[in-house]
Amino acid sequence: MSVRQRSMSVRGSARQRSMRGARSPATPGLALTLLLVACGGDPPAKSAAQPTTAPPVAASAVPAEPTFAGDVAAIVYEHCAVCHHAGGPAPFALTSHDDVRDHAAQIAEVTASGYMPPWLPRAGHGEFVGARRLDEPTRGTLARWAAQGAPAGDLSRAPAAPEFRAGWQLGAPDLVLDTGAAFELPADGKDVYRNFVIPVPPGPLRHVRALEIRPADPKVVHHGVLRVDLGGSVRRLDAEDPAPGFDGMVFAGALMPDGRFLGYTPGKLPDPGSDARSWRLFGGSDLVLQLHLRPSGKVEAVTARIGLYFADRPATRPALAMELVNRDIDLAPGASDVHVRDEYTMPVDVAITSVYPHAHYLGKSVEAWATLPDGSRRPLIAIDDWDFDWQDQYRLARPLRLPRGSTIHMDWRFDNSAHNPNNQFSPPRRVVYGPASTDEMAELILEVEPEDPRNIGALDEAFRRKWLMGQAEQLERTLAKAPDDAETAANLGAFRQLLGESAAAISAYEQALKHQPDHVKANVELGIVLMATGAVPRALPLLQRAAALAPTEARPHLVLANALRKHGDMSGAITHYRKAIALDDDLAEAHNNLGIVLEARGELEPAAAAFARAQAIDPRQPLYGSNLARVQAQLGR
Amino acid sequence: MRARTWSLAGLLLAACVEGPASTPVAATTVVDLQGEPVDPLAGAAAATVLVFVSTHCPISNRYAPTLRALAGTWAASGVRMWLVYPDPDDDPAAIRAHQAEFALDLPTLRDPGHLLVARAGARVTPEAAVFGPGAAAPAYHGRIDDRVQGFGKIRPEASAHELHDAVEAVLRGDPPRPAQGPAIGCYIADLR
Repeated sequence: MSVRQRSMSVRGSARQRSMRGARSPATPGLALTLLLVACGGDPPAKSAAQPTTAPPVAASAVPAEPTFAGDVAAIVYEHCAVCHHAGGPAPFALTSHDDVRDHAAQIAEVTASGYMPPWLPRAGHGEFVGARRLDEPTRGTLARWAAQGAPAGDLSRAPAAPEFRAGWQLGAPDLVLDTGAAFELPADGKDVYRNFVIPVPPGPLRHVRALEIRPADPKVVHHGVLRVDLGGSVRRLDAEDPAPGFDGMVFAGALMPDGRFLGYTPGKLPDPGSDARSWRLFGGSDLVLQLHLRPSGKVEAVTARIGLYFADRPATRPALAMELVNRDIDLAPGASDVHVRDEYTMPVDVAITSVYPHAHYLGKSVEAWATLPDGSRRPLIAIDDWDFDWQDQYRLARPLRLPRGSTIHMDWRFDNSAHNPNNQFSPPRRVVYGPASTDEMAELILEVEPEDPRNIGALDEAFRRKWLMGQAEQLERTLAKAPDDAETAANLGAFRQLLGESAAAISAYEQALKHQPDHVKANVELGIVLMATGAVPRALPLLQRAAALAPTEARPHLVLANALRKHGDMSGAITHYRKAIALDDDLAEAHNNLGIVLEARGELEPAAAAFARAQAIDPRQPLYGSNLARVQAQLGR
Repeated sequence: MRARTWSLAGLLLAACVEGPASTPVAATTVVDLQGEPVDPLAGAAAATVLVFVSTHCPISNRYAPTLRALAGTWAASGVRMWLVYPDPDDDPAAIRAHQAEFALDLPTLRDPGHLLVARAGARVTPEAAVFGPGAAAPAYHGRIDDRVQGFGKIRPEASAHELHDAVEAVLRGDPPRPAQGPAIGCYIADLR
């Protein structure tokens, strides 16, 4: 199909024009048109098809009479055609004189406004791989060419249109996985975030150097992010949704594998990676590919393939995904400049290799920087005109090395006024923190490598505490507004528990049970905390109550069995481990703990069977294997 | 309130009568997909809607479901709705393929000479114009609704439905308010 390009224009209000770079009204069209339109009401002079004012640039840098052949073709072929070619991700091609001329006005307009090529970071504030920013003389050349009627010049001297390699950009992959059956994107409606679950075949641990994502039809995929799930939670969500994959912008427990960003951005070459920075791919785990899909006007079938390229050894530069985040977001309708900030001080020497700012439609700008112990300041990234649609991972041209004690600062600004053209609501509504696209978020995700690889564990634990504290603080804010919300109180208890703050956890669970004595999770979790503090007799009635309240849930029985075991009631423990297993045969912990009790009672054969089952369910848990080996040794095997 | 509406309508009519009397109105006869001449403004429809579209404009394509729905809404009310392709490169075969792809089964015209474009005051695709019975000038021209706020800036739902409201006004005999809506899309002027 010969894809021709089309021009677009913004005939907007003064506000819209000022948002994208002001433009003077052009000469009105035909007198006849003027007269006829006057009958319809308003004069037409405000709508300008052709930009007449070039951006202010040094006169010498812009040719006086730019032509397609002499000036424009080289610019467009270098900066635009990578997406705008037949079969490419952009909606029309820019690979011939006819294509480019037909889009002259729009090219001038969208390059002047910075909408195209899509590249958000501010110049001079961090240097990134694959930057596709046009400089002022280039934009001025395009504007002047369009304003002068888009002259062709001597087409025989025009550069040849570039050719684009189809297929895998990184070469033949070592392993290709795919999304399976197509998801049908509706013709109309809001943007869709679809998570495709891609099972990794069983097999030995492998190390992935690079990964390439190839949508079958790149035109319907706006961008994609890939994460890995070791816990089976995305598989369950996939099963619950009758169509392929499941909806939503959250990843349901899936993580950046070994701290590495993996994604798809139109026009961006996949990162070739290196053996030193590989990540671990476990057989039997799940990849989850989240695709941002934009309805096109017709139903689209969406599939994608994943190409994996293996390294032959484990990573020598381990990394951590560090998410600066502030959940304290409450944007009143009309509020036009609300700051949301976060910061984190590095406990060890680190190198930052990538940065991914994330907010939704009301984000206006973001700035991130590091302050070093000596007081100096290093820019990380700045985006002055945030555009949710073009969010991306920015890989630093050179890792930013920061000594221990350096603080990363994130400063997001939000605009919930009617003047924000990205505002999803007209009139604006109150927007608070949340995962849906109509909620708001303020994040800065960093790919961080400790300078000494041996510090990865310490860095992970230190950052995990910051993350847990952030979650707990958010829940405390929510609870302050709704103190009788048992669910929130129970969740707060869980985070306090993870932080090792037993007294605060007990207090939160007791608050939940005060308002909802039948809250199963609060009973179970309070029982766990009490057990950990040695108060098994206080825990037992709570757990018995939970098991009675939720007769079809396995976990209350498992925890009750643990408490009975600690209390010395082995037969009671066995009864409830077996009940837990009857309700959920995949509960590895129940099998293992049953094995412990059986082993203690000298019932070695059934104990070995229980440990073997636990190990089969979760081969990555070394404890199950060592328990099995010990019992087998006693059995003389 | 009622009286004011009538007086405004009278004023507008007076202005329009004066125009065509001194300046010959340009022809609005274009061709359909069979190449037959058609003047969409010649009939006696209660309202005539021209919607300028293109085979390759992504914003225009995104409106296909909305256009289908509007055509269904007006099917029984004497409204004549046309899709108009102003790009000379959009030949009948390309248009047929496009309409099959986007399930657009509506009366269709080609306007390579931009006669209807000029008459409607259209500047981009997608853009609409609404004419009353026998009117030489559009009572409304501009965007279909306010979903598209800019390139790549599309709201989940429209909050102002200018084309729909303009047609309803014309069917009532009232002048549409507003008479224009700022359209965002692909420039028609570049299509030569």
